[in-house]
Amino acid sequence: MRITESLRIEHDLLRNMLEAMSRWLTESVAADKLRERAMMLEAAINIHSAREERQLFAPLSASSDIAHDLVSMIERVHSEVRDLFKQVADPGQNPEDLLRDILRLTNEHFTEEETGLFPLAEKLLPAEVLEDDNS
Amino acid sequence: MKITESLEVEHALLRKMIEAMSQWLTESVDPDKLRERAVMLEMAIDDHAAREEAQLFAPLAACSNSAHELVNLMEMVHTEVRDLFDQVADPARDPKEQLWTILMLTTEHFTKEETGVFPMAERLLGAEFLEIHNS
Repeated sequence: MRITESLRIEHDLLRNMLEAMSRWLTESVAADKLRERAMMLEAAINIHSAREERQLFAPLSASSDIAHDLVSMIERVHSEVRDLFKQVADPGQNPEDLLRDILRLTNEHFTEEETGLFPLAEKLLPAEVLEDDNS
Repeated sequence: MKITESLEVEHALLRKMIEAMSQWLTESVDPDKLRERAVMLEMAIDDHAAREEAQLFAPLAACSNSAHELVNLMEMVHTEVRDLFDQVADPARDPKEQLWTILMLTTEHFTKEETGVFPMAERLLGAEFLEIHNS
């Protein structure tokens, strides 16, 4: 299986977790509970993005200047999401607006990857590089 | 892509989330915090299990008596894990012991599916039936 296919499957599982968080936000779940549930969401998103950066972004970035620029833009979103999760974990801050930002950014980001970055990777990278070494 | 391949990718992400929970348990994170982090883990595991039951277990159980019995055994573990998560959610109980049981049961269960159920499904249902048409 190609790494891009594996990452799409992970996106679907993560999207359902984002939907659950969105539901808890509309149900006015207490801030301290949201903060703890977000810890597991953060762990899942970080596991996914670390794998994506290692198995896809690194070889793609080395394949052309355009790909390098696109990967840099996408990695900035990963950093932004990590910063937002740090703010969510701060008990001095209300996590609700920050979590809404994370949900919106991450959903948009998954779509951008699926429609832009993954097709580009499938075009530029050879089959043996795209093969998912975890599958 | 086959549904069995897709489920294996989900297993890999869920295993890492289980590792994160295991880490928090060894770090003696407060029980109330563990309980809330477990809400998100439960959501992810249940989402995966529901998809597996609908897309793989239902057609596989109809194939033969031995497949039906194996699916029953697997579904019993899904039920047991759901019951354990219900106990974790009870604020009157310390969630640690139930969480350790969930982590152990789920990890063993994934391995049994990958080495027993998925190969049986590939043999009995065939590659064409297992293909996910929206992938």
